[in-house]
Amino acid sequence: MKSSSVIDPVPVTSPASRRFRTFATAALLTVAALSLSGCQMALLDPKGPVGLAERDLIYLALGLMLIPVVPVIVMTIAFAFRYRASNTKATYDPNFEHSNRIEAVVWAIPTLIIIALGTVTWISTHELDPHKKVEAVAERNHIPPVEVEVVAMDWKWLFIYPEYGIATVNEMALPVGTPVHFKLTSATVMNSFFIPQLGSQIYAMTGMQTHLSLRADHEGEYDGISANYSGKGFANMKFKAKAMSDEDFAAWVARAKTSGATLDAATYKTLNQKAVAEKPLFYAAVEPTMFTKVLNGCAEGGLCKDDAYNMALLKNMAPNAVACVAPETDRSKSSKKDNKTIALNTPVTPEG
Amino acid sequence: MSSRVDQLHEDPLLRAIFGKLHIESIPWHDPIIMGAGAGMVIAAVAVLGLTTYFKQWKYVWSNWLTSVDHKKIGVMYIILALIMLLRGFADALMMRAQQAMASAGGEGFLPPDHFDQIFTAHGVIMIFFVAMPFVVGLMNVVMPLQIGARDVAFPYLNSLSFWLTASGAILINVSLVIGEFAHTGWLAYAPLSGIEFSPGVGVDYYLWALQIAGLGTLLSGVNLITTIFKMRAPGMTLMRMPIFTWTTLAANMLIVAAFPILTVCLAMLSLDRYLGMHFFTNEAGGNAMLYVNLIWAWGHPEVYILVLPAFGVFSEIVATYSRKRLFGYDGMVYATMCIALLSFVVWLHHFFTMGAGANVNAFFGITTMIISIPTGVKVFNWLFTMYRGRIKLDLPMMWTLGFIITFVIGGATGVLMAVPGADFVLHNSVFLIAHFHNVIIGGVLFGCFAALNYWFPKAFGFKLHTGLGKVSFWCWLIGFYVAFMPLYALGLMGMTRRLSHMNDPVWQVYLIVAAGGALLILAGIVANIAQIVWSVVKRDELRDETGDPWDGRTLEWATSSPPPFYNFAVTPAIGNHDSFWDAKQLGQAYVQPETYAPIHMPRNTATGLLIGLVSVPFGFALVWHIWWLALLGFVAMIVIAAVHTFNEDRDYYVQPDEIKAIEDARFALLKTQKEA
Repeated sequence: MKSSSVIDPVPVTSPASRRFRTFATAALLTVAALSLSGCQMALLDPKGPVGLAERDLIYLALGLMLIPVVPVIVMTIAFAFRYRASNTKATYDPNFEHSNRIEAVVWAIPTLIIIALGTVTWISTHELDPHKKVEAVAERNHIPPVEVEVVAMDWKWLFIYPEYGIATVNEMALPVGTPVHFKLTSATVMNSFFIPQLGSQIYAMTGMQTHLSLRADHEGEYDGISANYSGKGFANMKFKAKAMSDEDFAAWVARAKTSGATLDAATYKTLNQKAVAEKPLFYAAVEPTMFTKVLNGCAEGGLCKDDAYNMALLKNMAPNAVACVAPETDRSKSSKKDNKTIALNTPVTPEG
Repeated sequence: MSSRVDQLHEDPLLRAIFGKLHIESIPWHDPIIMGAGAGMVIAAVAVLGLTTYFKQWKYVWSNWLTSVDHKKIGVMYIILALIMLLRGFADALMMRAQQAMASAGGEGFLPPDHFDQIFTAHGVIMIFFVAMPFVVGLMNVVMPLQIGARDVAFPYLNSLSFWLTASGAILINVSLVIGEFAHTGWLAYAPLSGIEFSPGVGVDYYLWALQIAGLGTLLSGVNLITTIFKMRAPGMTLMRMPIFTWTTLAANMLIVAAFPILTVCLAMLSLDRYLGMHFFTNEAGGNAMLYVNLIWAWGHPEVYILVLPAFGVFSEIVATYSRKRLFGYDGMVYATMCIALLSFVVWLHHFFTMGAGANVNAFFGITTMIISIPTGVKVFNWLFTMYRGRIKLDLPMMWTLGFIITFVIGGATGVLMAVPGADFVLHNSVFLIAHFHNVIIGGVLFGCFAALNYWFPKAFGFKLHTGLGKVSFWCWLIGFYVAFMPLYALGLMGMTRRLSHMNDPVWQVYLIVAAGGALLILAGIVANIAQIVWSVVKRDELRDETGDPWDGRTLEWATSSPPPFYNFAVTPAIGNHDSFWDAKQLGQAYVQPETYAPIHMPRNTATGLLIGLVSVPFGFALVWHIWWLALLGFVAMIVIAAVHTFNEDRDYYVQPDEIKAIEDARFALLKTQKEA
């Protein structure tokens, strides 16, 4: 209650001044409430360079749009008043229907504004392209960015830190000042991965991989949501993004390491049930190819799509070849893009 | 709810007869649904009962249900829109109430399952069954009169179009009580709308209601384009058409170009759901992004299908009430056609966040902004029409002024979101919700109410009550700002759309204010209804016998109100887009010709009504997998249409003596008016 200090304790004498005081207090309370809520405008109070650039873009675009909007509103009211039927002093020119000068101006003004805004758009869209990797703050250039693989599930978020071999659900951490490169996919319907105070959101879609790069410049715990409706549990599909110092981050990773749980095909299958996660989960170890498997629809076991594709390709190239059966562990060693070294985990006959 | 619709009959015979339909498909235990269902049934029974009691069936049958008169069909479209507005708005009230109650950790009164159906139904109903029929109804009533035509090019097709639209609306309302509606959002994004994630019948209701209504819209588009191109009065070149006719032409071209995309998109989703295909799932090379692209390739032009006719309405009104020629007519025409064309190259701005490259996003962002140039020109032209005018602040003009001020705000937030970088944080937020309600309420709906007040006396021969109209206007205008300005703020706070509950006391304050705004709009709707009812009661006091209550400029005001069924006894010749105004200035209006020629008119037919009625059980059967009924319905529709082709007695000539009698009465009335 910021406003408590403004309430005057001096006894009030006249009813008029009491009314005024009540009014003034109410007005001050309103202003206080508005300024208070101003701090809670997540998009106007960003905590990283992406969100900051996007906030400035909003201000700039809004400013440019106000150039025509304010005069139009003023003109609407002014013309409606000035040329009202009862005002017979105003000029009445019933056949005034064309003026090259006015028409040139009304085409030129919006055109010029759009040229300006279009230029801003072209530049900012390339600057803020989610594929573009955000840089580290200057003094931390030597520290490599953090890689995070994100899987949208019904109705929770799975975060895999491949460099640390850990995975978490509905809670992620990031060191302040270091960029985080996200790779995202979905185990279910379309979702949108969004930490409002850090900036850009991006869709997470089944069988596809999207990219996003963010950086937090201030320590804090930021809300993360899904911004694309995904069914019954959608409203509970929330997570926390915790921006912390390097030491705290190391401790956070270490704590995950002690959780004892492992994310493999079996635990993944349990996790992937349609349910809301009541509290964050931590996995001390995770299968290294888990994200690729989710992407290829085989995280719970079965034939992976890339393998099926390669098998089909192989059959095309050599219809009589006999495919070999490779042990599961070989998957990680084989290069996904190299067709010559395909390892298949399902036997096929040439006849298919 | 979904568990109920999954129940299957074990007996194969019962399954063959009833498909997936089960006695448990009706949510007997949900008081909200059963109450709403009972209300609908009681209202329907009351209408049927009253019609029977007052022995009005013959009148209703021959004057309305089987009518092919474009004016009657247009009025029926608008009645359908107003009825569905009540349903769609009830959904809106429930959403606002739920979010106000469940935003500080509470559960509210709606479980997520029900809330999800409500926001889906709200969107579907408001766009497809309120805005669309209202706009199509206006085009039907007004456009043929404006071009001096006797009816549309294909009167029977027009009747069929209406009844198909009405059938879609009936199917949507059936879904409220029997089974469920989709809980996917109004565009039913795949894969959420696929069989894996939506196994119930909700999406199937969505698909068939939209397919049936969409077919009606498409046919109507073909009809109205043909009418404009082939049936204009002599002398009316394209550049002499009233501006509302121009926007009607643009909107219907968009319908004909865009609705097939919707049809195909929904058909592909149906194949996925019914025949196990994979257009939009990851199996067998399908891709959900295809669905999102297709649905918006229709969805964005749809926005302009709705708003362009509204622009036309405002253009007519602003010229009439400023008692001045429309400023920059040519510019208006070019701006309209520019918008129509550009509306097809912006669809990607609905999903900048899908991960397209910067070049693609920037391209679609900039094309979107370019649309604001012709739109801005329109706004300035309305302003310069008012400039040096003699503005009469009647109801339609009040709606127009409210529109200009509200719409430019919505336009500004729209251009803001066209910048991909800004959209990356605003996408799917309630800021977006506020933006599109800002342009759809402020643009389309205000346009519809302006048009209702403007053309009502033309359609019925008496004006709408001004006082109640003003109450309605102020409730709507203020209600809109109170309901949606908090949503802009909430969007900036990071609130996303479609949340059934949340936990933030600060948000709750804003959501309670927004709910208050919704109540104000409710008062506006009540005032709308009261205005219509009261005007009907007081119709003798509000009667207009001149046919031209507002000192109009275009041809529809030249004939009587309501116009005779043949519209114009003699086809007028046109020299200008303000032809009636010019005729009045030159003293050439209201001249009765010496003789009349026979008029060629279409006969009423029940074929459209019958096909429409059969399409309801046909759609219902497809929803519930009752294959025998679907087949029967399909065959029945083909047979009815085929039988109609053998009907040779489709037209007749109105004889000159009948025309003379009607016109003599009209001119006698005009004479007493002039003397009084």
